[in-house]
Amino acid sequence: MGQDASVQADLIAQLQVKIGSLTETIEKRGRDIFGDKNLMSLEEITDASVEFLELLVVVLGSPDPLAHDNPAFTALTRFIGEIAQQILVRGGDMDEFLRYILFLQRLFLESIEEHADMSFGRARALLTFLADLFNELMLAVFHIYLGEREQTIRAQQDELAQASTPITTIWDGVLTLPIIGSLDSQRTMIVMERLLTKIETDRARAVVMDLTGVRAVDSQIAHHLIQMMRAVRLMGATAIVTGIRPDIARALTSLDIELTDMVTRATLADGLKEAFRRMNIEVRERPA
Amino acid sequence: MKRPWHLTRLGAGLWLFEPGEGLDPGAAGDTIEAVSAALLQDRATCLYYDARAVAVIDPLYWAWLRQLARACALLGASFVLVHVRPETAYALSRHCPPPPFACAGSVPGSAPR
Repeated sequence: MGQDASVQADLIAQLQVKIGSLTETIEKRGRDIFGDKNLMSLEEITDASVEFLELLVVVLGSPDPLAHDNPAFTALTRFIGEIAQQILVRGGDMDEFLRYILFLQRLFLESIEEHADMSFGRARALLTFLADLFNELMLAVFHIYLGEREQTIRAQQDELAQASTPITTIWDGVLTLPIIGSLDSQRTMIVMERLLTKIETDRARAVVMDLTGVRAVDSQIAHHLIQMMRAVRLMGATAIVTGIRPDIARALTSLDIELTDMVTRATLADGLKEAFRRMNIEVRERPA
Repeated sequence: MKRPWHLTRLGAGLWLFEPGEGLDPGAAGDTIEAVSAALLQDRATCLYYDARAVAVIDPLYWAWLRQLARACALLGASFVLVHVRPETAYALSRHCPPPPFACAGSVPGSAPR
């Protein structure tokens, strides 16, 4: 039996001897951290503590415990990852969960210290093994945390994109699109996808694009605006652009693109009047 | 041999062209001749080109549309591209110059898609 295998055997033996007290300690600490904040129910903490130790024993019993293609190790990291995810979803703090894993590591180290007759070489191998094992577990938690963060950021970006491009059917066949902020390639794609689909489903004939809320326009944004108008036209609708500030006019004219086809009006109200006019709709005050 | 397109008279000088799957935009000559003959005979004023079944309009297809539009102009008829898919419009707006013909959401008076 090699050094690694005997280290694993040592750990398994210790776990088997102390399984009761270890489970109790792990569970107690889990209750202190997660139970008080209602992040896990007491039953969940008990189940998780037992399952963790069971999975750990299986990992230790496998030939190459920390190999990434070891199904037992994958099961253990997945299990830890799932708990981390559960805690994150319930509003928990990742710091505390990582401290909990460090606590588990310390618990095992303390149990080794109690064996005074263990040789230095064996103790070092044990410590190295445990450090590697718990580092891997913390990495699994870290990945889950990063994944969750990325997902949150993506969701926020989507929400922001939705909120900042409210396409409204203001009249049958007339859409308004106030563009707020900046227009990068990704946002242009999102706006255009929504706008063109809306034109198709609503059978819209006019789109009033209001640029009053556009922060700044460079040549790239100007290109995106032109592209948007072109696509609207291809869908068979008229794009009426309103709220063009002097700096936007400057950017658009610097592009060396033919703008004679572009329908523009000073304000959103004027743009709507133009859309109505083109659709033979007349809006007027009723005589008193 | 069955033609890979269909031409329908809508009435009052209006015609509808529906391309089929086998339409070869690279060999447009015969199609343009046949369409022109029908339009000329009816003294057509407008040809609607239904693009709802056209998934991709690449430069070759774009050239074919422009060629047909030019033929219509020579016959005194306008050319209107209808039912362009949103994804096609998006792609065209990125890669092609503004169309030298009109576009419409649908053929006037037709039922919704």
